[in-house]
Amino acid sequence: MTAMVPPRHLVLRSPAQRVALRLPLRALVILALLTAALIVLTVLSLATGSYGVAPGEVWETLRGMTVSRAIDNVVWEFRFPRTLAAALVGAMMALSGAVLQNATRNSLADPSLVGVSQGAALAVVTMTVLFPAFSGGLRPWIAFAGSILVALAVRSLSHTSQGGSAIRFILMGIGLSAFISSITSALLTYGEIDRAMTALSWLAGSINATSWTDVRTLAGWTAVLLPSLLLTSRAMSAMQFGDATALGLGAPVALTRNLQLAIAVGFAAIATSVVGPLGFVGLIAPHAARRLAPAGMGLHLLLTGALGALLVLFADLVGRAAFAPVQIPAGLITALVGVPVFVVLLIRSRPANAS
Amino acid sequence: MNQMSAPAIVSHKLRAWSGVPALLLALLAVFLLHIAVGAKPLPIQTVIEALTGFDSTNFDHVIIRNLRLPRAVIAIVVGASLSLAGALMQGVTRNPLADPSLLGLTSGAAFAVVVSTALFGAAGLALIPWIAMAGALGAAAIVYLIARLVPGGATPLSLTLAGAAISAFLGAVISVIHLLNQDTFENLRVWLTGGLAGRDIALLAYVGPWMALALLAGIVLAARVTLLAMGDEVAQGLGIRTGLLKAQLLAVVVVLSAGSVALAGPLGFIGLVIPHVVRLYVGSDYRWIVPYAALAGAAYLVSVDIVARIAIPPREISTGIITAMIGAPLFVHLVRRRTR
Amino acid sequence: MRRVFILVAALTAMALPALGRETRPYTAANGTFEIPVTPQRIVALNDQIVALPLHELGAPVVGSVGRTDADGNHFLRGGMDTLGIDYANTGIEYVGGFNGLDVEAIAALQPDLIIGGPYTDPGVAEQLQKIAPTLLINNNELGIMETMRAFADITGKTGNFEARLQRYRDNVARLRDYLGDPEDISVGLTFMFPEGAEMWVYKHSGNLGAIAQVVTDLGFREPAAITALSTNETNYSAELIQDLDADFIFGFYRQQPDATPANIRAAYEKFAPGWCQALTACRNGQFILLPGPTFGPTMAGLDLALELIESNIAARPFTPFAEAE
Repeated sequence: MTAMVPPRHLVLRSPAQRVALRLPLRALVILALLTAALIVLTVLSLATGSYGVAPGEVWETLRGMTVSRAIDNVVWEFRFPRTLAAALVGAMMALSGAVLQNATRNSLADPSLVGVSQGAALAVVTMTVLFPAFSGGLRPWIAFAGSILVALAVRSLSHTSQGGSAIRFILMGIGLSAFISSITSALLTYGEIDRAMTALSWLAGSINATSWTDVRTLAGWTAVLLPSLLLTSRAMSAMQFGDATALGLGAPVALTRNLQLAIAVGFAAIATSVVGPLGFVGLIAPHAARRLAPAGMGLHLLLTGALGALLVLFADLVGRAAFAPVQIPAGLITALVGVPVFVVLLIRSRPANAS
Repeated sequence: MNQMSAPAIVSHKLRAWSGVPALLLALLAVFLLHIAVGAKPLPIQTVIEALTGFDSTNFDHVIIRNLRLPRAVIAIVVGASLSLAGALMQGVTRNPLADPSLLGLTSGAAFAVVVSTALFGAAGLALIPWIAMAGALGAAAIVYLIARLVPGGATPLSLTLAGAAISAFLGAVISVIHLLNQDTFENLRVWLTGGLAGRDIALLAYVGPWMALALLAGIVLAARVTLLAMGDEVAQGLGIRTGLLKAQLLAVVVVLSAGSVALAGPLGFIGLVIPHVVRLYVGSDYRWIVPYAALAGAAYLVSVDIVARIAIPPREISTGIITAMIGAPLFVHLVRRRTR
Repeated sequence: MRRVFILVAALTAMALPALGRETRPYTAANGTFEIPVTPQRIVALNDQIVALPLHELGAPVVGSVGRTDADGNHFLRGGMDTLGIDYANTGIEYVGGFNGLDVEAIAALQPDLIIGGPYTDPGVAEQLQKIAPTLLINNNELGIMETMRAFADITGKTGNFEARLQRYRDNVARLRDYLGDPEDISVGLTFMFPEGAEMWVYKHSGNLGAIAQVVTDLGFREPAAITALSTNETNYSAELIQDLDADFIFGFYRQQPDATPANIRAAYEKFAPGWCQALTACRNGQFILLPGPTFGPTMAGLDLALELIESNIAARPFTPFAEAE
């Protein structure tokens, strides 16, 4: 039986030694690697596509010189917003999943548990199948409204005068999600088949039509929600050990849980409203991050976000370029690529520790 | 580990077998109702005639004998199987989110059917049930294999994670096939929602005996599931060979789910929700949860099928869709009323 | 003064080509746009509904959305059957599936006009506007004839279309004359998938392409149960199949390599055992299985559909269906 070697840490102290951060080295290294990978992928994504643009021309267009109007269009209006949106959405969905898994203390929790994906899907499918005359501009708003409504419904249904319990919340989430999914299914199965097919692509999670407006929306909300999340990370660490222990450690459990749910729903709802339900990322990214490098909650969240961004960015790139002109939505590639990677991580990880 | 305790029940609990006669009666009642009622209103006299003196040239008799009766029987078998399998899954994995689809069974079946339809077209349609079963078993095998390879072996957590991963993977492949080959989507979009229309009663002769065996085995093993749900160490301390028990339970779940998929396509929701409903009434002892779940599931699916057929004539809604549409609000209501 | 005027006019006339090709405003379902007077490079966002009629009109289609078959080959649905065209033997490029367009591939074709419809993702349509004016023509609302007329108007090939339409109308009139009183003949339209779990029933005004148009134009009657339906098309319960009984019942199925008449008959049997005995139309051999929706919204499709109806109804004796007493 080998002795357990404690993982190496990096300790940062503020000048007067009043604040000290002890950060695991492995996690920091992995985070740096992930960031580098993100940058590489971004560059690759800008240079790849069905419209052949030489790398030199891409570089010149990015620097502001117009090689041709068409190339300007392709790089600035099509590829750039798409790349940024993919990364942002990936990070948001991953973080949403991580927060939910902590809040419900169930490793199977992901944004679809609170009905966010289903609510958005129902709202959009209803609009697509029953009222196709509405312009596409309304879609993100409708999706967002659907997500929030369902999340609120789950919350209010599971909340009683004695306060909500985790399991009741989960059960309500299951019930409501199933109900909504069945209605969506009915619309897809019995609606006009052409309209149903249009909805299918959005339902798979497609970044095909993102514009700068979408990127602004995503970035804006991330800027608001991410700091809030990092602020609660201390309380989240304590909650890993159960409500009783957390309260004993001084963590404001009820407040934190409410805040967590709000943040998780916020992330997922915004992301879903822009690109459709992106499943799987929220479920798997937190697990993968933990197996790559165990870390404290704050760093774990950053790792999860980076991993999610990487996954979706890669998925979008492959989906639009690998079989061009056939387009495969990012949401599907995410699962196709992410699962084998995740399985490998599962198998090669250390003996499972408490989640 | 995810030791989810059952929600605190505030109302009167059912004791032991006291609820069984009532449930059996209910099951019989809905079964008879299912045969007597349908999109085409038929007088009771005709129903009795069809069952006693069948006249194959009379379309009304054909409706009752060859359309309604097989559906009712299949609904009972599938409803009981999926609910029982779901209860066992939740016990083995100690996770209230578990259901038969967790092992990748339903995704595996759907995947196999979609792929074979895409490749072989209508030629393979008659073989759909067998292909579905093969897919279900294959996926379950892969999930189990992965779970075993995880350091720590096939624990509930590793099983659920592996199952979720494989389900997501297969679901994505199915979606890709749909996007690339629209014909499969149009052909299969009804089957994929899970339904009881146009099902082959002859199939029941093949899978029925196995499923009946598995149902019995499930009920017999149920008592030990309660101990398992308390944790491996506790169970072993009480003399249970956890490894063997888990393998047996998983075998039961696989047989029941694969058979159900073969008969009715990927029907979701029942395996997940019925055990919870039952738990609200009988507590957390699996000795009672399992048999009650089987009966309740059967009665529920038969009732749902009745609604699917008579809700909006002349249309018929796929049963799989109605199952959740009716059941979920009911479920939500029950959870609110009977828990704190 | 007059010299200045002539000079200015001459200069303007010379400058006009330099100002770019002429455009005119056109109002489609998604708004009013400036489109070229004679588009030279059109991209179609649906093969059956847009590319085929455009090609038939003689409009220059450079790219079209299409389908993929099991072997991974791309094809224009209905192209080979009605017009004898496909990606391989025309200059049309594949630009993706109709719910997964490759925006960059479309850009690479440098179109000057893009035409889509209600099946086009509105978000993607917005993006496409940056490449070329994108019109969404609602073919469901307009119907086959008006959609084709709109296409003819947009591409400037009106002359061709009107002539063929007149010929079609003449043929319809001729057939109606021959039938005597088509309103006396009831015709039901059904659709079956090879899987046999669901059967769909269509009103004559429903979405079954050229066949439905022909049946409506000829003036056949609908079975009462179908007229009573609230939507144009719906799935139908097997128990009520006798409500659909009529003089003629068409069983349509989508043209696929695996859907043969034998398969479809088996599907009907699986859906409703003993169906053929239950329907007088079937007992009398008046249940006709046809590959239907392939005859999409083109003039060729209409002509083919008319021929089919003619040979199956007009050119044979039949036993009329006596509606329930």
